Amino acid sequence: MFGTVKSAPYPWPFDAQFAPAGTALMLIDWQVDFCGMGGYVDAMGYDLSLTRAGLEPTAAVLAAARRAGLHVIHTREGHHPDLWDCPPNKLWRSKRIGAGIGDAGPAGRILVRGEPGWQIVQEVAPMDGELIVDKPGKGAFYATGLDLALRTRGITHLIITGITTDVCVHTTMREANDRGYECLLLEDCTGATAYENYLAALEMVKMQGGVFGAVAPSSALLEVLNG
Amino acid sequence: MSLRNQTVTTAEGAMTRPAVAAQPYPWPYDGRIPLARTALLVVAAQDEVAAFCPGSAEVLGLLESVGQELAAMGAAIVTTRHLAPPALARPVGLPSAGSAAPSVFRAAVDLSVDAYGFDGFAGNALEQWLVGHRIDHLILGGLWLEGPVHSTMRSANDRGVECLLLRDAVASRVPEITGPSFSMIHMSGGIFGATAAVAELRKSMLGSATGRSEK
Repeated sequence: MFGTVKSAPYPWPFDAQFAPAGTALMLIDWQVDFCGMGGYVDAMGYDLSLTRAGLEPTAAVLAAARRAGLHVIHTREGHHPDLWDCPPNKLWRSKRIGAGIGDAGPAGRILVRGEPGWQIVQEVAPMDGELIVDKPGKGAFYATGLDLALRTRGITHLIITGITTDVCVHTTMREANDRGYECLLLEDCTGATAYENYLAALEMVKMQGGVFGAVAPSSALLEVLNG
Repeated sequence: MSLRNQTVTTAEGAMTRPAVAAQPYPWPYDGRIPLARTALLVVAAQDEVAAFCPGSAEVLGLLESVGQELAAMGAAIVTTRHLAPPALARPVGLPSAGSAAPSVFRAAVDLSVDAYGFDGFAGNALEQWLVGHRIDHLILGGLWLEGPVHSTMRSANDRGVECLLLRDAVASRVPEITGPSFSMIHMSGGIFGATAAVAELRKSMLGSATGRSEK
């Protein structure tokens, strides 16, 4: 059993302690196309540093979580090859900005399951036995088995990392919070394509006493996990 | 409910209006506003929420007017009342089910739902109602932009619903981050949909009523 983490706006978790068996580290969408060398974002000439910034601290937290016996859950955003699970407005918007879902990209078909660009980057690659949740949307709970998997495993506390902070990470944290999961977001283990949105997303979690949970640097969690 | 009876028609027979000059793309993606497949979703019109969102009274007044105008053209009006998630032990700024005040939205509505959390789709029949009435376009406004409004828009978008947020018909709990709260929606070409001022929506509503929704 671990005690509280030095987090804001309250010491996490709310219920004062967390057990490895009831806690999962979530790694959201650390995929090649979003943060990998040679992935889509990289090939378009965008600055990868904002989405890659959280990768190294996340790898350190992942190692510590595995040693401490926490559950580890990875998520991937992507669609079936025939795109049956891609809403038409999502497809339309992606094509409009020249990043058409299902179109050929530098690392295979963009956002399609099984393609090289859809894989999780080596730095935080899943190990055997770790749950991988494939999702068609931004939230990891919608149209997936995540909630059922958490409940059957008795997981009540979630420690969240991933990209991007304001989109998939926030949507997933909001869904988890509504379902009663006690969430901690690690501020240096996440990033967004716009820094101002990253900061605002952290602020949203902390508003009014922590409506979606708490925020902490990974060092505060490591201090607790490594005793 | 009589409104529904008048407006449930096939998509082919429905009246449409021209696209709204929205950011980051003219809304909706499918060309014109299909009124019979569109609802105004008024989020968290509740005294408990209004208490900490400056400008709430003006926002609700504006939404009541817009709602009446949209209803007259055949769109549906839906409200969500947000209650604290029963599974969560921490207080989150939403009233508990037993003590919540009634909605303070005063215009006629087709559906009012209670949501058990920030997400307007949580714990109720909203999704089934929208699907059952073939409504797949939502125009959103209401209270607590960073809270229930954002959660509900994100959830609707993941469900494939085409969303437009009315920028001047939302009230913020944290006005300092209202800019980023809109910017997040605009990322990657409209990752959660689009945003527009009410005046732009009204211009579209005054536009030609002919034509069909184009895919």
